[in-house]
Amino acid sequence: MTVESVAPNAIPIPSPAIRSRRRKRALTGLLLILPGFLLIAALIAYPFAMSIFLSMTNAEISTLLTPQFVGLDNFIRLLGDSLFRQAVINSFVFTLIAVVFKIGLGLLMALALYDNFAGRRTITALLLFSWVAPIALSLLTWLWLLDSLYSPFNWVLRATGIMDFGLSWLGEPVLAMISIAIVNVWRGFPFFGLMLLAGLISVPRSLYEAANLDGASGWQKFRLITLPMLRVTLAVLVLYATIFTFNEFAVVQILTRGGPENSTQVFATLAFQRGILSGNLGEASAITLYFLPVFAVLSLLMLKLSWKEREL
Amino acid sequence: MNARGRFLILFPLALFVLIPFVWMLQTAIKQDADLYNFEGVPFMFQMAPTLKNVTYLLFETQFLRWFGNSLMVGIIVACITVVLSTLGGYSLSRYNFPLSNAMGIGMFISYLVPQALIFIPLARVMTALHLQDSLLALILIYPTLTVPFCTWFMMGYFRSIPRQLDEAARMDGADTIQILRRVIVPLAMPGILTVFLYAFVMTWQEYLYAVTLISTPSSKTLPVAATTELVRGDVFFWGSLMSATLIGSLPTILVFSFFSKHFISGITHGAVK
Repeated sequence: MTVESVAPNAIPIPSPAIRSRRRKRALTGLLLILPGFLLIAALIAYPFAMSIFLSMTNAEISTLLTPQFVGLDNFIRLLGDSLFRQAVINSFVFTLIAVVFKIGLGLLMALALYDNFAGRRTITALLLFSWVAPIALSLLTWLWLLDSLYSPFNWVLRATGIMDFGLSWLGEPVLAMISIAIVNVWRGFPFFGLMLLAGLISVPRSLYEAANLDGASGWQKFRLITLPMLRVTLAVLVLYATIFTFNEFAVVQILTRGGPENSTQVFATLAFQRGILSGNLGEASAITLYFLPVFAVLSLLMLKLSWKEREL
Repeated sequence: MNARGRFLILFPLALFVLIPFVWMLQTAIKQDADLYNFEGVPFMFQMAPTLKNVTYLLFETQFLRWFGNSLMVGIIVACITVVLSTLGGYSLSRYNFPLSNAMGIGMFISYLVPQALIFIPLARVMTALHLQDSLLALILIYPTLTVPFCTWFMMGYFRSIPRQLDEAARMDGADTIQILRRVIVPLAMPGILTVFLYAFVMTWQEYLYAVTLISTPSSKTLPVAATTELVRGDVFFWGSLMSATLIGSLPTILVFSFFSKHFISGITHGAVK
């Protein structure tokens, strides 16, 4: 055995040529993703950092003069602001109702579309209409559908003799909250149905075939196969739905503008009123930042779950 | 699930989804007197349909202008999205460089950042750039809504294209741009089309940024103009409003209907990857 012999498992040191090729490759990869990344950094990360700064100042929208630093005043004042507290409660109530029904109806839709049948593709596409139609325009239609005088739903209530006049869908506090939740569900559930359908399709059919051989009922198959296999997908979708429902703006702004008597005022509409309409950027930033802890927890959970799913 | 169970679920859901569209379509072509008729069955015509609302909208308002604004912004943003997410997705699918994982996670998180969290400071950023009230502001901002999801989507798509194809082309002396143009992009065309459509639909729908940043009537996008310009004070002219809603919803609904098979399988494919 000669001294020069190399141990068989030694890692070969790359030659300078290979190293420079690797460096070039890394640079190419970086350059390819950089344009998109910079755009996002400039228009998401930077404004985000700026909102933290703004929230501690008395910045106004109308002037670009250097705002004064006021520390945590905005945050502290908001805690004593009954309208803000109302908006926090409303946001939670709205999100809870809307997410439960979006996921629930989405799951029903996915289960009904799982087996192949004639017209399945057409029905799937039709159900997605509410999701692809521009939401602000659909909301005008809903505003008209829920009109206190001419609502066709009220006509049905009158025609069937259930009521003499019908309901003031957007004019009564509790009913207004239910109405905006219904409209949010209308818009969102088909998307979750589609995502859950994708999840259902990825469950191996052989599991159901084995259950059939064992004589399992439909409910048993759902509870013991479908739900456990969909657990991660469901969790990811619930988190996603929660983040975006919590920040709903268009539905509330167009249907009720937070009324009646602020009974449907939520985070985003309050921030819009205080920041854009009244011009108080500092306080409005503080309002949106109160959501940050919730967002951080939800998005970290989602990141973790999605990663786990990719590894499976 | 048997046919009866399917019907019991899908029929009410379809009714729920479609009633507003039926109501919109009807209102758009009803005569005013018919609209405000308290007694008649609301889902039927008591009088002959009319195109008066539609012609009023097209010729007496700036509707065509707003439609054009939305169309221009939508197409430009969709093109920007296609370019940025194709490059970014290709990078994430093929290259491993020190920051690639961090950048991938950054993209993922930025996809989750709700607009409501950053629209306040964005208004200030755009004022500082002298872009307040300009469609250019929307063209700059909208890709932040589409690029993160589309980059992830394209990454998944590129992973399904065998690397050997890249390597073979490289052996033949092609550089990265040539490989992308001649080999990868042609193979990824269905994915790229999905990205284009997705970006167009998302952009056409956007409301919060548009209503925050644009206030000059002639610069508004269609959804913002319809909800602000067509409503005078507290008076709603439902006939022309519903005409605007109908015509304004057509582009996304038509695009979606033509490519629905493609779109649905594309989106679900990207979701489960």
